[in-house]
Amino acid sequence: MQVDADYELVCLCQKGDTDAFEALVEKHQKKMLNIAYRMIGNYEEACEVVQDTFLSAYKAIQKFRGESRFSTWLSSIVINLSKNRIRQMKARFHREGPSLNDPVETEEGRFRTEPPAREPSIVEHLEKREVQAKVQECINHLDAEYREVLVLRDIQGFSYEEICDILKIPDGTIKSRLFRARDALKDRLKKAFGDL
Amino acid sequence: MECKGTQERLSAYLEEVVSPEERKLIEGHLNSCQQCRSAFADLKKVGELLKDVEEVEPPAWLTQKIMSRVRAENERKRGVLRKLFYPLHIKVPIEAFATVLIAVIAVYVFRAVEPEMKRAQLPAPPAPIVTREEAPKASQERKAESLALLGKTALKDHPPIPPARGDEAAQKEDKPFSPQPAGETVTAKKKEAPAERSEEVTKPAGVLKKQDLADLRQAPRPAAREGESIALSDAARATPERQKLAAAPVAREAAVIKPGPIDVTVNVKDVKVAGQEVEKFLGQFGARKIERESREGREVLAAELKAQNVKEFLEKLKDIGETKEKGIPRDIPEGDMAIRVDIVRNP
Repeated sequence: MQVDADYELVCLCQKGDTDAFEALVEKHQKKMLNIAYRMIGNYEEACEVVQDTFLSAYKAIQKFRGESRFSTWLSSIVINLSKNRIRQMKARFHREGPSLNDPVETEEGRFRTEPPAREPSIVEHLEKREVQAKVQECINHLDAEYREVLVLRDIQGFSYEEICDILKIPDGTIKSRLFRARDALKDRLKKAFGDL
Repeated sequence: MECKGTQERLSAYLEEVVSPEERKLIEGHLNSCQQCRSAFADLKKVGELLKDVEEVEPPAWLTQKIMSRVRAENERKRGVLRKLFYPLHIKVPIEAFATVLIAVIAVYVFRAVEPEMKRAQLPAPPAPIVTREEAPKASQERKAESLALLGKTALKDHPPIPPARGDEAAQKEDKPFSPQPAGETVTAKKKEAPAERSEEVTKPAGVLKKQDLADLRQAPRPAAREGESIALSDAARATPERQKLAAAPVAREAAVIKPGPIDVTVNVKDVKVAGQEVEKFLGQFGARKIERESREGREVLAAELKAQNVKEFLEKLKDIGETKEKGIPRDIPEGDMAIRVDIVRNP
């Protein structure tokens, strides 16, 4: 196991040093925000989740025994809180009905924001920001268990070992889930862009 | 290798986590199948798109916001601890006051219950209360005595009361007013003593009326005097509480007050004359506080006599008639002794 660069700061936090915790916040907040944002697909919600993540970490810092890296431990918190937030958002959507910004439900029971593009290779003609927005949209329509492996592996670049630590699931499950997630996303992207 | 099988393994092939044999098979199939080659290209494109996803920047306020929540949490945690320990300087006096209050209430409750407890500890009506009446000096006692005498005229004819008379209460009351057998021991009297200070006087007391009993209660001093010999005895062992109650003041007084009382019963033919003679003797022997009470066929004289004159006085009484004495101490102490002479008609 790699030496955790955050170990000293964590020890200081455990002794009640809030400045040390602030240092950890500054160091990890961007990564945590990106995980949350790619998981949830909403920047404001992601910011709230990140706040909750660090607060939860602070409350539970005494329980952190250094068995995994601090960033891994923090990632598992943000993933769990993100999944909770997704559930809450879905529940809110069902309770309050769709808003104009929400994707519409198609005959197949799937969500999409707009009809698939007819032109081939539309990706080249779109602005990079628009492409990324569409990719995020497609990710948002995946199941949470596909989302998490895609975000952790393909976006954040965690190793399989780290993902095992974060999600607490076996390596084989991660791989198979990841391959299915990619296929699902490929289908989604093809529908969104017409051709990749 | 078929298309379906190949496409399922394309992701693993892309990750390069397939065995060399499988890799050869997949590559072989991809070279020959346009559809699978296209699928593989799409998969690669998906990977590239995901890799190209730009990172979002956290808002500038995020750290501040997180830390303010962290500090608020710290305060909250400290607040809980403070609630438990902070008001120690307030709690200590409150707790001290509460302790004192509990102690005071406990004492108050104990005091309130104490008499009940003592009463519960007391044994069944013990020795007769008569010793109080034996005190010869107090006029109130004499009053009670005379009342008792009125109610028991039969006693005159039978001075020593047989215990088998039946009415125990009456028997108890009778004792002081009837001539006692000469052989009656001092200890018997001692045993009676502790009872005298108790409130047992309120018990059915034979011939004594309530008012008389109240009067008796008002005159505790003579009772205490007569109990002085009792106080030092081990008499009321069975009732230690009562002994303590009765003996404590009596013992204190015993050191300074004369012993006694001495009861003398004189059997004469003419009670009146004998009474005058006894009174004269008392005067001769320097007796003080002479009190005389006449009843039908009976004279009762009470006085305080110097201890050294007691023997001589008793001798003189023998000249008047047949005497029966009780309560004479073995060693005549110094000072005054209470003496009561009961002159009764010769049976």
